Amino acid sequence: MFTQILRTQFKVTRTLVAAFAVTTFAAPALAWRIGASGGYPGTPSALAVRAGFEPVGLILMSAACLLGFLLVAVPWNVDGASRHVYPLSLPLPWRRYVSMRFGAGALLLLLPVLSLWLGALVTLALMELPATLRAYPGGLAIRFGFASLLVYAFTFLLQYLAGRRAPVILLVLLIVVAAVGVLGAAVGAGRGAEQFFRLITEWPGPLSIFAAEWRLVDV
Amino acid sequence: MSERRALACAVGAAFVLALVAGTPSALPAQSADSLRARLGRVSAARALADTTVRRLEQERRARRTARIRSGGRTVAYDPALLTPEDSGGIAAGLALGLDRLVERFGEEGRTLVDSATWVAVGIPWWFGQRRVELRTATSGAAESLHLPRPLDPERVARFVLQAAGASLAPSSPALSAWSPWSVSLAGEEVRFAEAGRELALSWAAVGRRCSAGSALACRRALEPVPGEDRLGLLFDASDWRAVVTASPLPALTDSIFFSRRRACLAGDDPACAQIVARLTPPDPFSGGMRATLIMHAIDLGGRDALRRFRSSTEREPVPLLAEVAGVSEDSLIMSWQRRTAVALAAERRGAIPLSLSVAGWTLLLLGGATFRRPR
Repeated sequence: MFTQILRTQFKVTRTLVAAFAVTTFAAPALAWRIGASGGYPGTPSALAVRAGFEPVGLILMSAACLLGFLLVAVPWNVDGASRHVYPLSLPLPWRRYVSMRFGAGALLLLLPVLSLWLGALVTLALMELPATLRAYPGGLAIRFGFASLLVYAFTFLLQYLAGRRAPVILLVLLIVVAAVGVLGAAVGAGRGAEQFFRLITEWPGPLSIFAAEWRLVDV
Repeated sequence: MSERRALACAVGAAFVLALVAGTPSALPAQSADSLRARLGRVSAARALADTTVRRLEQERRARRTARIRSGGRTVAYDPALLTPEDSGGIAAGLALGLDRLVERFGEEGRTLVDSATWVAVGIPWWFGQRRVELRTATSGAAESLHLPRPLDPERVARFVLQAAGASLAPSSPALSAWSPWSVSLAGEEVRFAEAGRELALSWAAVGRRCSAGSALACRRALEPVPGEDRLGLLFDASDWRAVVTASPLPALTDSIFFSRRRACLAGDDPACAQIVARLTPPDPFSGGMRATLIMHAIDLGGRDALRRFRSSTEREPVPLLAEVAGVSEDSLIMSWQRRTAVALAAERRGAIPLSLSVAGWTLLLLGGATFRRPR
């Protein structure tokens, strides 16, 4: 049954996954192209190489958020167009179906992750790193994988709990988070707001993976 | 010259410069954008002057009003701007900081902040909030810290240790010019990690060799080097393009130099070799990196470090710090290099706990998703 669900998921999201696999494969080279433009010819210094790969973090964080979100939203909308007849007709308890659907999507996330790893290896193979720098292609790919998994899991929870009301609830959640920051400070609870943001962005908070360093090359 | 008078002179000079540069003969050559940019700079200088005057006024009022007394020290503040809870937080933090200094260096520790004056002022923050700014000044250094309310005594105590450290380098002729940056006694390993990063990413070959573990290179990177000797002692041929980029330029009339400089930056190594000898590169290492050696020496020296620091007659920074640490110069430098490497490596760790926490959150979210069927 899982193979069948995986096949359906793949059929629905293959273009999306392929597009992200191409993006993540090209991301390290693209980041280098953006970050190192304007440098002087010759062998770049350690500082220039590190700074040159700086945009890779931002590119991959954005890609992870978008990938995790779309990998839930697209199949849900396809199901919604047929009024969810397919999942409801399966001879499976709801809990099991949802877990399998989650697993199928999470498995597909591996493709862009592997593609990022390969893209990073290829980019690094084409250049000579200064002796004091180290490359972290595996670490970056794992970080990207976990970040997209987290966004995927969050969107999945929202979509499968709230159904059609998910976009409204997402909007409300975003407003609440912004309000905690802005209004919290305005009414004199700045420290409380600061603690709230620290709680969610520092380990073991849910967003700590986004607050960590995303570097392909570092000392 | 007082701070206010210096500020008035600076603003006056900015206005005069703006007027001189904006004379009718110069005007036709300038675009509206450059004039707008200049006006913006003058306005920014004026705004800065206004803010500083207001702050100085606040401090003046604070100095003649209330006093917080703690551990034999007094902090002046304006009771109209600080609440009793604020002053209580400052008093508790001050006492905690002084206790830590005594615990670490004995009674001599207290003397580090003997000459310090302390002022607490309320400063406007976002959305009409006020934060507390704690300021201290000794004869050679000034430190300030913004604190959110309610005040955390722990942060005030760390500030006391920071202020105590700040007075160290200016009090020593051997260290004052060598490392004008603030020394912190609050045990900040993050500063050692920054020093390790600075070495690894240095544009001077000596820094990179030090990062790789060469004691000789570390010593050279840490010792004061006169400007005219820097090129030979700190850099090698692979750094020349960086030297050409970073060094101050000679007079604009030297067209041969500038044509060679352009060729050098376009990738012509012989052109770099021709002009590099004429340049005096700036110091490639920051005072912050050197300040970590002072912090390390004091940590190694333990309880007697301060006494040795004050009694030493040594005029050179590295021998002085070795004496403070109570170890040989080579041992001091090698242990410092190891500490920077360890601090840097510690920053890299954390991938496994991070992955585990994400896995945990994912399972939790999945559990929530299977909870009920949507309507």
